[in-house]
Amino acid sequence: MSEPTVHLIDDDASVRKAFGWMFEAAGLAVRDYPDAEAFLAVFEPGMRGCVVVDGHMPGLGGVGLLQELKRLHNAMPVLYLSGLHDSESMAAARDAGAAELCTKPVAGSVLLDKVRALMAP
Amino acid sequence: MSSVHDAKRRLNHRVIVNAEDELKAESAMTLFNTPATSRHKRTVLVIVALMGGLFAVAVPFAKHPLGELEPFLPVLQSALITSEAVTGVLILGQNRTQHSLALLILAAGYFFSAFMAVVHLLSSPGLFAPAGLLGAGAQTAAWLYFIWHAIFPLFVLGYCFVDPRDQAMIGGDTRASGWMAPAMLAGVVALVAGVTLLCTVFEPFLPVIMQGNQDAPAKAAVSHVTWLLSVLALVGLVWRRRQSRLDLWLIVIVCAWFFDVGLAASLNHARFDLGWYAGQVFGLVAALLVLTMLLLENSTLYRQVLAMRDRERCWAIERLRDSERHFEAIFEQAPVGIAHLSLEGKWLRINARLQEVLGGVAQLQTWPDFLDLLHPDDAANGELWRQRMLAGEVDRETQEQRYVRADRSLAWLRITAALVRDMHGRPDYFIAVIEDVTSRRLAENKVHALSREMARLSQLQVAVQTMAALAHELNQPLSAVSAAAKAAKLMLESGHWSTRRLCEMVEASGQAALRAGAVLEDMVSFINQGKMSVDPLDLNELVTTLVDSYRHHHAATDYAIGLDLQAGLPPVLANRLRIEKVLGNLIDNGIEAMLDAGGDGEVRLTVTTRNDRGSAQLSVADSGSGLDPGVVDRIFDPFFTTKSRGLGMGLAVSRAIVESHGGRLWAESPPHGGAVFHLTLPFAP
Repeated sequence: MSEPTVHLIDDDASVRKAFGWMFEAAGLAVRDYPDAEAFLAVFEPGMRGCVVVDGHMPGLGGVGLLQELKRLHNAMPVLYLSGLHDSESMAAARDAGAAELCTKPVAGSVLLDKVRALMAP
Repeated sequence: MSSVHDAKRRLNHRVIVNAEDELKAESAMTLFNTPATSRHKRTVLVIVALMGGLFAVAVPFAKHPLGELEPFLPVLQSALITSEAVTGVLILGQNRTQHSLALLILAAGYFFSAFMAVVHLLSSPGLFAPAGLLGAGAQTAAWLYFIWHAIFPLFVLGYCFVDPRDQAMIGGDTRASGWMAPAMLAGVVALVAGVTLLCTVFEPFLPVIMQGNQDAPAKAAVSHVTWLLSVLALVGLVWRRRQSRLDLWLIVIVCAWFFDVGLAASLNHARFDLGWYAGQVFGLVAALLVLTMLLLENSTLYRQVLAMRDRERCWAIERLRDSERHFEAIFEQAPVGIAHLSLEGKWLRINARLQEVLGGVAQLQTWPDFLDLLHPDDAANGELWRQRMLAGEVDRETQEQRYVRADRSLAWLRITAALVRDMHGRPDYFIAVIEDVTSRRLAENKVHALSREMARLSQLQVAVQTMAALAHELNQPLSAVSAAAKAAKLMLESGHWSTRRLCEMVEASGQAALRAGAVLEDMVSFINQGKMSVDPLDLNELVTTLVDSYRHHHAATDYAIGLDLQAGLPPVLANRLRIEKVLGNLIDNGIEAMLDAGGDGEVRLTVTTRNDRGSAQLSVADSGSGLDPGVVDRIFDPFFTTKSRGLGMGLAVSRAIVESHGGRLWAESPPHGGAVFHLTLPFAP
């Protein structure tokens, strides 16, 4: 059984890098992926931790990933990051089983608190 | 209602039938071509039978001498001359309306007969001179008589053989046939003169047919030939198809002629016997009878003409009334308003629908003028319109004008007005057709308001899209800045920090902040496009400098940039910073496209400059996957992007910049792969 990990999925490299540093500095294990497809390629139902996914991505996208994870019996809570003025995709994400929603721009500390809460056993 | 219509239709029908009858009558309106009815034929048959009876009674006593009655021949012949001449004139009169060769021949026959009677009378022995005038010999009168009575039937035969229908019109042209009557008269006079000359000057050479007042033996042959000619004429007339009334009376005449010649020349044997007297009387009575009948017929026909004219007048009046009723119905029941307006714009007449349109009108006379009812702004236009129509510049015009109702509400009227002129072409009155188009105008106004609202909404939509795109592009770097700062703070707080790691975090944070700034800059340059200063610029130098900086910053990267610059390219007129931005944008695009494609082949970007027909052309070709044909037209649209990152403003801004320099920017996808972006810039003067 692997240790609980923050699975970070965002197509923007600079965001992945900064978020990764933050989670690592907070003592969390982090793995990042440039898109939903890359994460699904390594996903196993037994994974632990949480998923942080950006809603605005090419390909499957945030909501598509949520639906796919549900289908694959994912047990990890998912934090969905959305842009401003994007109530539609937020509602869709909630329906698709997102445990937490967050709008960008997000203050690092707020995001960290939410992820810590989701990682708490 | 329907019975009224039926009655009107019957009336119309009758009027039309009458008209047709009258048309038929009109084409057969003369003695000459009025077909003979059976009643006429019966009358003529009775007269001929009566004459035949008298003839039969007279024949046995034909040779009974009665003695010489001196005034008999002059009186009878005078009457005959008058009768024949009048008949000739009558027929000539017919010819004036008919222009018929047949009639002309017949008239010639009558004039011939009249002239011959004159000559015969003058030459008769013992009347004006013991041996007759004109140097008459003993045989002159007799020969004149026979030639006269032989030639007249020939004229009748001539009349018969000219088909009345085919020959009815001599060209139908009065001018062309105008000379024919005088020519005919001249011919007749010449003929009579010739005959007279023959019978007087050449009298000694003619066979002797009279011995004093007694017949000579040769007379029988001459008189029988003459008689035979009468018979031939009779046969010709009876033979004729579709006899006219004139034909019937000619039959009477020729019969009388036949009996005349028979009694006075063939069956008698001397002047002044019973046959001679009876024959002469026969001829005169028949001639007078025919003349009388012709005159009566003529007056009958004239009466018919008058009656027909009256009927026609009635018919015309009825038609007029009918058309007035039709007009009345159209005017009153038309689904549009109709008005007659005086030249000054006063109401003359309006229909029921117009009353509805304009609101109830009690007294047309007390109503304000047409123009005064219009909205003040339109009244001036209406006046202009009136003037132009009066001046004859336009015949009719259609306009939509506002009209103020009695309750001060506004109505829109579609008015088509036309100027009606009287028969002399002077302006008489205006006729205006007026429709209430208020509801249509209101609907149109609503549509206009809606389309304005639509335009506003779609502008708003663009703004919202712009904002959303901007927000996303700013949110990403801002989130990264915040996260990197938080990471640095956590690291510092933990006490286990590495300077290298911290530097990286601060550097990344700074880069992200710059990226946010660049997004805003893109936006601002798009909005501010057009305001710039231009200078002569060496395009090759600019390309070289820019590509060097790429090579310097991306020394270790997995792509190559090649240059193919035309030496001696004249300077272009441009703003250096902006063209640098465009070129940078095109190079960035190319590099990203090639890296995205991730192909196995060489990843190489080539920048080319050329002097192309008076302007500088710069091309950036990549070896990426090329452009999707469905996308080539849209890549220059604002907010269009196929990339996961970026506002989609880069190419839109680039094109705006190039075009503001007076150049062009376009893209193509060559068949051998990759994408090529071309831009042109004008050379400095």
